[in-house]
Amino acid sequence: VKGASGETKALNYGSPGPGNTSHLIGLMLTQASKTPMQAVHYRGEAPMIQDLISGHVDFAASNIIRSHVEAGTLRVLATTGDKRWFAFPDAPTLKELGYTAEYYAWSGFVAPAGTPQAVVDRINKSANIALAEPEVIKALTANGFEIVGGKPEIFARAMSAYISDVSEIGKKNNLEIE
Amino acid sequence: MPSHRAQATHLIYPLLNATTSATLVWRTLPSGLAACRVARHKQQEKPEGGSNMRRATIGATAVVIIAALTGAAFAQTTDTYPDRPIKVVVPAAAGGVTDTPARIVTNRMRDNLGQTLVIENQGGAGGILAAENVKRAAPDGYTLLYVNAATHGLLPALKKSLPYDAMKDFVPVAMAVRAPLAIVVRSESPYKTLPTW
Repeated sequence: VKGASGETKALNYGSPGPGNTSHLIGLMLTQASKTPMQAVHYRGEAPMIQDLISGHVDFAASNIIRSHVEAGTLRVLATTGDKRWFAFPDAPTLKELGYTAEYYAWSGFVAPAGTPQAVVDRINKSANIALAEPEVIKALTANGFEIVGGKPEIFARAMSAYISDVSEIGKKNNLEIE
Repeated sequence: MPSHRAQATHLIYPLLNATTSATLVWRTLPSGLAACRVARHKQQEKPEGGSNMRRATIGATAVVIIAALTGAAFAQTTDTYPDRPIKVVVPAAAGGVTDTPARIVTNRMRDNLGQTLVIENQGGAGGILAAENVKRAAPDGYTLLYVNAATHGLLPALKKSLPYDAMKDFVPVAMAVRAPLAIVVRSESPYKTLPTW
């Protein structure tokens, strides 16, 4: 990226805090690009998005920007899932652009250790029944969420794999949250 | 322009290989599955010292009876679960990307559980306080934590010290949703796509 005077301009990207998924995406793009990039950390997403809109940072990764995209103040360059995000079907995935990384925000239920297996299974069943309800699917989809669901073991494995993936990125980038 | 773009993309590819490890996708690799959990049995027999054999025997019998009664009560609890409202702690403020799906899903779980699920938002310290509180709650199914990638992914992986262990202090119950992120620029930005950077 060349500035007006011809020299390479460093890019600033917004992050809602060190070690956040948005920060990890910025680090990945920094390593994959020849352009120097600098993280600017905020306390949460709201001030980050405000500064992105007013031009203090050049780009940011977020999943609470839909209203700004619809209002025309922000533009989506890419999405970070394994396939195109139905919220922004015209935007390519990182994979389509040649990147190997995928990033998701995710959520689900856990219970304190020692909770009887029968109780865990009962809540699991209840959550999966709810996640299959057309109204629930409609409401979640309208908010940009993909339905995941599944057995407790799937969540256990996914969580464990996620923690080890992020640990590895942390070590490579000397990244630690104070 | 197409040739310029192709060149830029080409330059990026070799570097991309170095970032393969950044694949934070849900997957089902058989790694580190901490599924083996021991139910808590806290009854401990400590007969008072002394040589009265009969007293010790009575004590031991009492312990057995208490254990049997506790076991019966425990089984009954599981059979009738849930017989009162369930608290679902959300480690984030109301209205965000964690709270929104938690409310949508728990609202419908009420229908098939026959009990209300009450959301309690505890967003302090990035969700750490919420996780710490639920870790200490009774493991009876009446206090759940609706976790996100921060409390049970990023923080355990990157924070030096954490007052809970994401895998050992909790038992995963059900994944609910996921959402990709969008890489965005302001509308007037000169950047049209990623590879040309």
